[in-house]
Amino acid sequence: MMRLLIVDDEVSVRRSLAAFLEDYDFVVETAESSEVGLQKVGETPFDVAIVDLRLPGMSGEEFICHAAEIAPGLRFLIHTGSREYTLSDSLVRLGVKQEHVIYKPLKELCTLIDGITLLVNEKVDSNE
Amino acid sequence: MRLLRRLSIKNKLIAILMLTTSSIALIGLAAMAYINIKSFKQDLVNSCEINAILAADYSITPIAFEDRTGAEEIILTLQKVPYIVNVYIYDENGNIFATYMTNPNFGSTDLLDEYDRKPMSRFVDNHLHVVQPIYYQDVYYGTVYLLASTDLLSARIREHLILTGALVCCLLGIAYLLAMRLQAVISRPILDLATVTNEVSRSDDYTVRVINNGTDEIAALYSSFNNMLEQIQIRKEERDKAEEATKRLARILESTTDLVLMGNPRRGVAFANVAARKALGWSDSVDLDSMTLADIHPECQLRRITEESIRIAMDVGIWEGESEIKSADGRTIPVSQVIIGHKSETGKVENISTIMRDISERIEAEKELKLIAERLKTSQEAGQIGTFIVDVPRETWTGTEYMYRLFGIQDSGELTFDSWVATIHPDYREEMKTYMLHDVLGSGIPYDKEYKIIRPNDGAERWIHGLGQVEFDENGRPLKLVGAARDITANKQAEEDARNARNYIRSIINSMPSILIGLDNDGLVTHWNHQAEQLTGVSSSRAEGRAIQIVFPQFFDEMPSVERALHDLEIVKDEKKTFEFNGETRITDVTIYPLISEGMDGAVIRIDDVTDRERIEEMIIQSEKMMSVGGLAAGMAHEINNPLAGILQNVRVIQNRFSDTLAKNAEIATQCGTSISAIIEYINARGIAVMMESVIDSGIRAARIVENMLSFSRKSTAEVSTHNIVELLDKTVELASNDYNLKKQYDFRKLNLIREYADDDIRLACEAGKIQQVLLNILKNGAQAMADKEYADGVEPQMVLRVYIDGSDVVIQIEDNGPGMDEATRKRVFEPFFTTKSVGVGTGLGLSVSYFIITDNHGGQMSVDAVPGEGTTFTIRLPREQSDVQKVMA
Repeated sequence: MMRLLIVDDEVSVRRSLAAFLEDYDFVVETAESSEVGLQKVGETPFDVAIVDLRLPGMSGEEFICHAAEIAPGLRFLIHTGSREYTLSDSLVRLGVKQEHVIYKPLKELCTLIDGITLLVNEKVDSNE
Repeated sequence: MRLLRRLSIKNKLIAILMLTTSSIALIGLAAMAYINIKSFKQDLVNSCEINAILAADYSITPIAFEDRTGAEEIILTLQKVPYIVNVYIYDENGNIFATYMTNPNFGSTDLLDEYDRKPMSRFVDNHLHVVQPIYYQDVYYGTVYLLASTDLLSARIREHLILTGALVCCLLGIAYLLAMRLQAVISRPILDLATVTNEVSRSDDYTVRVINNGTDEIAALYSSFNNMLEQIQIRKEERDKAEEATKRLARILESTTDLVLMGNPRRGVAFANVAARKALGWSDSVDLDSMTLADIHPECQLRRITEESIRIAMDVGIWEGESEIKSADGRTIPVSQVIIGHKSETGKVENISTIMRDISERIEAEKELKLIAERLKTSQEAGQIGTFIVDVPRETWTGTEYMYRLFGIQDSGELTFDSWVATIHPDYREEMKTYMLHDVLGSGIPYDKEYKIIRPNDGAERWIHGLGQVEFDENGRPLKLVGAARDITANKQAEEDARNARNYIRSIINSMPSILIGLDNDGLVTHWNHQAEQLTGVSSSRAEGRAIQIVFPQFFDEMPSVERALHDLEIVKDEKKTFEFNGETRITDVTIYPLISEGMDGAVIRIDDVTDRERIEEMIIQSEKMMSVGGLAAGMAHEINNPLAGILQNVRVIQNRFSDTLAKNAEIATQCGTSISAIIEYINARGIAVMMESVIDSGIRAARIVENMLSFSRKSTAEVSTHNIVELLDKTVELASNDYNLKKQYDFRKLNLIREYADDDIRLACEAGKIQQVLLNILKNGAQAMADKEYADGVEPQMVLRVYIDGSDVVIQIEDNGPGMDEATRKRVFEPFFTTKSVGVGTGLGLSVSYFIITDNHGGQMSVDAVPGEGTTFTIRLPREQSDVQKVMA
């Protein structure tokens, strides 16, 4: 069972994503802020974190940086409301790629599952 | 003779004439009388003898025949001769034969005593006795004795003498009258001469001359007399002159201020004039003989005077120089002195004289003169003026020292006219020569000329201003030109600087993009700059001096403003006034500046064409407005995306959970006491599934709007490459005609497309897709708008496509003849959500997105011009090089 962490301050986005992913047998935890997310990353291991960038307090980018330190195996999908987001250098160094950026709003939620699958496969490849 | 001598010339002449005449007359007449008397007597004798002969002849016969009576008859015939008194005829014997006697007492025949039978006749007393022998053939027959009375003869002689006496008297009378008259011929000139002589002696005037008009001896006398007078006159004049000269000399000597002394250095002074005595302090009674050189000259001069001056005077005759004398009060007076040595006929110097003149004043004057000259020099240098005098007939000139310095002439003194000409700069030489010779010296106009010279000493080019006046002689010939010259190089430089400055200012004014018009108080144009010429088409030469309303009729409405500015002396500004220049309506700002500085009346009108500025301002406002809208939209879109994601994702989850494909759904439905199929049936029956789809649709549409809005602020992704913009435009036109045709709202193919491409291949660095999007948008909007317009007959919808290069920009222009726009619409077309289309037809973002693509992504400009009812023109300017874009973006 894959463990996912959703970090998004928008409750409807957070809950709908969680609900959708649970329907597809993912184990989903949610966090309304980076701080909460980091705490959860420290408590339990996750395979993938779906992170919004614009967050109250610590930004999504910072969260990714910190989370990667805490849990080196954790992979990240960026789910942003911005348009044409360009990855920062620190994120690129952590292995985050342009295809790991998903723009809100998703017309089809399956896109998300495809993204997760892609990321997990990459992880498997890199593990091998 | 003595008596005669005492008479006057006139009387003398008369007397002489009378004496001569009377003598001649008396002698002549006496001789005549004598001859006449003699002839009278002879006549008487002859007559008596003839009668006697006749009587004798006739008596022969009677005697021969003794016819006494016959003889008597014959002699009786003699009674007819009155003077025959008695006739006797004697026979050969001497007896009376016959007698004829008228007076028997008268005489006697006394001659018979001496008669020898030869004829004889003789006067005895008062009787004439004639005895005639009577011969016939040499035979003596007798004698005729005839006694004739001389009484008649005496009477005749007496008568003759009386007549002669009367004649003499008459002649003498005539002679006297003639003498009276004729003597004047001689006496008059002599008297005249005498008169003149008297006059001369009386008046002592030898200039008088006798008028001579004859050739005789008197005339000769006259000329001699005249000559003599002349000689006398000359002598007299010479004498007078000599006397006068002597007098004058004496007077001069005594009255001159010069000191004159004569004498012998060894024997003392012989003469000293008043001035000398006064100067030396000698009284009239001073003994001149005792005075020596030491009394005249101060000691220090004595040696020089004696050894040098006097010696030279003695040797050469004259010495000239300067020395000093002792004055009356013991001072020393400087003098100029001349010493003359007078020589006797033998050549020995006998006397010397000296003439001295007090030159203390002259020395003072020289000092003064020197000072004046010094001052003149200083003042000329200070005033930088040189003065000169030209001697015209001699063609020479002289100048002051500063004058020579001005002209760089080393030499001073007299200079030739040509030396002046030589200094003149070759460009001015001929002109100056003509001016000087013809105008100034020829016509006498005052000399006033500026010209250039090249100074001979240093080769410097200088400007000279010459001024002067010609002096003429009484015949109008130029004598002198007196004048001054000044170096005006600095002024010329200043003038040139001022001229340059004026030209510079004029150039500035002319290069101003504004119309600048100068007006005087009467509204007449004084200045009219280049821009005014360009825009009004009226040249400055035509405009200047004329009323502005005439040369620029459109300005008429502004005249009250001009009047207000002139009246209140305040700047009046009228903004956004429209004028038509070269057929184009331009928006202008009119500013009227009253001229309030001293000596300047009037106003300056400035007309600034602000059409472009207005447009730029509009564009800036537009741009700023768009930027703020863009920023707002981007921020808003970002915030909307989250709730949108919430809506869409939740609906998707709901849809998912109503799906029978998910095992979990069926499981939970069963736990809830129903089946998933029943639920699906229910939501379908109630239309819930459709509703959820429509929620998703709406969400997606909202998401699309947000996506467009976000593109306002989206930076270029630098997919820039070089494209042929013409090709790009054509492709877009094709796209437009294919795509929108189908919708039947309009027919793009019915449009008359006019392509005005400057070139078929105009390269441009751009994002092709974006540019196409913009072009398509414009074409589409244009076509849609034209579909709404009803065209008049013969006019068809038309679209002009232009591409050309303007400097570093490529300009794309799309002009349609559609309905156009009003100003309010035109100003808002680029605003997001502004649309003229009916609700639902367009989002109102097309043109605003286009605007951002051009301005923001490509660093270009986009503008629109429209005339309601006429058409719309979109103009896109894009920099040709992408680097420009980068710069703009940077």
